[in-house]
Amino acid sequence: MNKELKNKLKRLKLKKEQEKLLFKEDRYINILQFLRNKGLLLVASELKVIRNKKIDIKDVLTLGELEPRVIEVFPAAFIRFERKFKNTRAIPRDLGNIIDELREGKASDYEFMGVRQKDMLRWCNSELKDGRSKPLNKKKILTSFKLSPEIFKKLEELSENSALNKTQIVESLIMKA
Amino acid sequence: VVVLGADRLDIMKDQILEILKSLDEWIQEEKNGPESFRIKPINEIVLLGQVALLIDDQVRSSLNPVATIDVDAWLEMDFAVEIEFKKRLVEKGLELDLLSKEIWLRDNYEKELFYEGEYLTCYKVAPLDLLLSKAIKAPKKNKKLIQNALVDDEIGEELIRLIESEGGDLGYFLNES
Repeated sequence: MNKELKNKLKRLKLKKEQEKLLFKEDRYINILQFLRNKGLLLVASELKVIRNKKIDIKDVLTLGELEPRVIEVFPAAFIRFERKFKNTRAIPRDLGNIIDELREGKASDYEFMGVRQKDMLRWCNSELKDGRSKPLNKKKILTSFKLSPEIFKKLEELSENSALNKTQIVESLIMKA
Repeated sequence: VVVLGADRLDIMKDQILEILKSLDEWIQEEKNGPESFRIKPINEIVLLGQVALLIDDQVRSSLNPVATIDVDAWLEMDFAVEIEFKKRLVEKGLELDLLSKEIWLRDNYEKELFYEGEYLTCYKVAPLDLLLSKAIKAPKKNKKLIQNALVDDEIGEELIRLIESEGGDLGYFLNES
């Protein structure tokens, strides 16, 4: 190994030691722990338990520089658990746009901090182990129709005579069409 | 603030071993059952990607990797067994990555025996080959991980040699940013 390479590695080692200290700070452990508990990340190291502490978006971005997988799953966590995060104004405009598109189920090869939007969408659509939050692609969309009284009455009758509610009746008829 | 015990470190390894053992037992039951079908006598799984790093004792403690919940694996098994494998992964909050087949490894990569059962064998690719693959094919996403590995006393020097011999951009990783 030549001298120049040795020096570069020495400097890199110092930098890495500083970064390792960051991983031990509560604010970053809080992020990793939250993402792990929600089933979005797998973590190797032991983690302190920090309860009910909101996550600052600035900390997510800093941690994301060290571990891009945090950025990869962040939109999925933000879309489903927005109230867990604070300082949402710190979301950079391009990441905000990415999140807005992901909410609509859209994704492209566009990257943020080296992570493709397509890869982010995957986690928005995955089932989480808490079972409480719905994957984005299974979320119901609120809409309204003006039905004639006759059609509405028929819909009510169909619902009363079956185990399905009115929404399920409409869904089943559409799927059969 | 509670510090989780050291046993938490082995969760991922234990979970994967549990899945493999349960799958092995399922194959055994199916082979001996009244409606048994012809299952290949050899069913093989090769674990790759971040999960293979997470279940490696040495890498887990020295590089502290973080992973998304997708499991990269090359499978050599009947479709029925593959379905059961996927089912067991989902039960543990994991997903089989359908793009695993596209993962590049050098020709003479090393694999280590991870589980050997009656009807199922599982290997994990050696950490050096996994890191090399990441350094060559996805340097941007894995920059920090590779940097951590390069300054690691155990594997650093060998990884430098491999990256150079496989035509990787070592300078990209030695850049401290």
